Amino acid sequence: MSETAVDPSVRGRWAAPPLRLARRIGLVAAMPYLYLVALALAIYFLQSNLLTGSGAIDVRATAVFPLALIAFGQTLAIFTRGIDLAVGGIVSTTTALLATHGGTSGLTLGVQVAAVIGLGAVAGAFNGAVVALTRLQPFIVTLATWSIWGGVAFVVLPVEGGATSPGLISLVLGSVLGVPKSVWGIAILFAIWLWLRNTRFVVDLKAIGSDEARARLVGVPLVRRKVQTYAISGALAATAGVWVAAQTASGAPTAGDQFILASVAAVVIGGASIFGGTGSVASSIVGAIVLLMIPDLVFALELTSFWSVFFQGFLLIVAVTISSLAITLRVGRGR
Amino acid sequence: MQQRARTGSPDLVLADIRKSFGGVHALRGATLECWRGEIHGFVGENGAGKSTLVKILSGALPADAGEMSLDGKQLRLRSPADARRAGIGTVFQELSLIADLSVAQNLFYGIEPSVHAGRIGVRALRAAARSALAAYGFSSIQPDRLVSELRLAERQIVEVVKVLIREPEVLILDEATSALLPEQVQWLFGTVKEFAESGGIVIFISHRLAEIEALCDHVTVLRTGKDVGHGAIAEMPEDTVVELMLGRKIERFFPHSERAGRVRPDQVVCEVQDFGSPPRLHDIDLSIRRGEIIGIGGLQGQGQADLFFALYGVRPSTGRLVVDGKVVRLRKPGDALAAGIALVPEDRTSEGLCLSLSVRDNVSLGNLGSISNASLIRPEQEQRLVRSAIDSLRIVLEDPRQEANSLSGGNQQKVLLGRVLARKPSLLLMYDATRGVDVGTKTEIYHLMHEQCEAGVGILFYSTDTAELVNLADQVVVLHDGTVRARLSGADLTEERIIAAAVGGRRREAVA
Repeated sequence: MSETAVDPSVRGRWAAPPLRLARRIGLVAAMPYLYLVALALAIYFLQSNLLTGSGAIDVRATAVFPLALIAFGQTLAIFTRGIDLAVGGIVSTTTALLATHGGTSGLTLGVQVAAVIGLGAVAGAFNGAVVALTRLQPFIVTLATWSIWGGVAFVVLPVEGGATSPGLISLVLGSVLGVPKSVWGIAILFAIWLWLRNTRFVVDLKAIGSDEARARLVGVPLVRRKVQTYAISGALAATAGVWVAAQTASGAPTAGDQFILASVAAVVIGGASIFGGTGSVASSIVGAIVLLMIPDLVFALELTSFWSVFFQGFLLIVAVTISSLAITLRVGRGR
Repeated sequence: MQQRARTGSPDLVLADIRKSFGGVHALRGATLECWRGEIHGFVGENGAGKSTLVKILSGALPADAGEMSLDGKQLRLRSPADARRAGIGTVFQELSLIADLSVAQNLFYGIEPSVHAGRIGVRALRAAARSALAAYGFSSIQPDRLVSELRLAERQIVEVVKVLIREPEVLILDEATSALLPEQVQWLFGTVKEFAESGGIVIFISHRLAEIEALCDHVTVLRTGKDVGHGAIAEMPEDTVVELMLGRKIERFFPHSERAGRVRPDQVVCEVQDFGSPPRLHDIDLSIRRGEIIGIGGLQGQGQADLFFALYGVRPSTGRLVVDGKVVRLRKPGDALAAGIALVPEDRTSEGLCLSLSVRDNVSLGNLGSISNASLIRPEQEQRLVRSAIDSLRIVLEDPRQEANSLSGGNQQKVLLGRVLARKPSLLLMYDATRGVDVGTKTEIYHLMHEQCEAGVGILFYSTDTAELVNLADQVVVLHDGTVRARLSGADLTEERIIAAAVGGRRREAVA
């Protein structure tokens, strides 16, 4: 057998030279990190105290951590070509429960936190089971359960307010070994991902997202994996809810809604394809950080804060364009 | 081919397997018996139920009724994993590789060499994949490459290697050669023979009867969900097999060529000069006359796709193109259509048909201009158009309003042809249009090509099947590395010459 398999990257079919170069050095995977560096430099040169002032990192990490948690679960769902919109409702319900029952339930703080995270996991497992067994679109299923859990949040706490127990606040805020807990949290998420990315679990999720019929054919346990995926996403959303409740020292029936599209945006800015099979949780977390640096940039540019949303949308378009170029390149190679 | 003696009772038995989807009976009591050490050919038209039977034996589909046993033990297959545990390895026609995973992850899925607490040892996996590929002589395929980056032939090889490293007892190959180069086919045949000689059972499915004849010891023919005949390959000449497949006698596989009368010598329909499509295709000169079929041959990926898509305006092109005496500039497919160029693409499902639309919509799409008035479709004209396409192409369906998805592959291809031909093109581009189509439909497509030629259409015809080129084309142009390597016609137009030109004369031995 002679060497008939010529490396297609040498033969270059569609790709124009600059794009081919971009592909060879893995530019697409590096994009979120480039956004991060570029934004940090821009903010630093415009108003350095936004990054170097006292407590600047703490404030930003505290804002990023809940979104990073949710983006973690969202990435797993998007790996499978799914999406988890229910995270919004789960966060809201969690904050509502902690703000109303935190001081009165008589449960110790640890039990309360474990209970709401457990509730998030169960709510997520329900999403996964419905998605896997009914074969309904994850978008529709989780849109419905978002609404359900949003409804629960309104029943528990009709208006923004309540009060979380002081213990919760000291549990979440503050620092360990001189480093803010939120920074530790983000670091732990990265570490978990480094361990997780080569597990059969993640390989299975990418296989499902890449081609569900083939994944079934090679023996991926579809139902179990989907239940696990959405359960993890639900548990992480509830954890984010605990964080948000402590940060605001209160609850709100719509506290979670802002995280739904933000988490999807973070995943997309992180370079994952919304059509499943690709991506990295680490990049999604970087995506979350980048997304939340935009308001700082807007502030540094001395624009009104309304411009934040504008620039976030703009960044999203750029990110999607680049990752879809990557798909074009992949299609261009071979067939 | 030496004949292995069949002794005792069969080692693999599929008895009276039945399966229906909705009201459609895909299998109506199919029986298959194989002995160890045997390469068993399994043939039938598209829709005969081969793929369904393969899926049932692979655990991907449950049977409605019937018994299966291997070495006397009954097989109960509830999932593909059950089948693998029972020693059944399948190279699927549609390939079971996951595009977004790496070659190594695909090869060793579920049997990774080093797994601790659910975590896969990356280095051990890569090493195992590298040595497995090297053992089969494919060290050129990098284990870390994503499958989506591989070419079709490479994917097919990875799929075969993936099945072989699981050391199955039964090896099923469903159209496993469709994308392979001649020398890769030789490799596969050698590997399969070795597998059988060491006591394995091989079930080999192919549309290419020559391959069945060259490789198999025994053949079973399936028609409309039932086995209609089997026998040692020596007792089953090609004519007999084709007859059994079709359930009727066919005079000739290829229509009688009346080339002399068909081609109109001085009426050039399309002239191509210095034509190219950067970066792959360059310096192409062609002249196609009315009623002429020009075959395009060569190894896969030598610029054939570039040529066809450039002529259809999908890819940018350079050079001069004259159709019906008019110089044509192609910027989009619409320009090609307006000039009278029509394309029948290779992959009808992704490039040709809108599967979720009805047959009627699929035929009228692209012909809307001729059946509408002030942007409104006129139903009676549409009906006439669709009716004539269905009748002239003998499309088998219940109702023109049914989804294109519900038709068999061959009939889908005819729907596509119906749409394309309704435009009455001057130049018809057929890009591997008979790939994966059953013998009966192929024959009909051949006849159709001749009808079109008689009506004065020029045809540019690419096929991976060299026999088709020889039997249908008046001239065959062999492409190599994006340009013309040889032009063969008359007495030079033989399969041997085409293949020799395609492989550049360097690897003649691979062809013998």
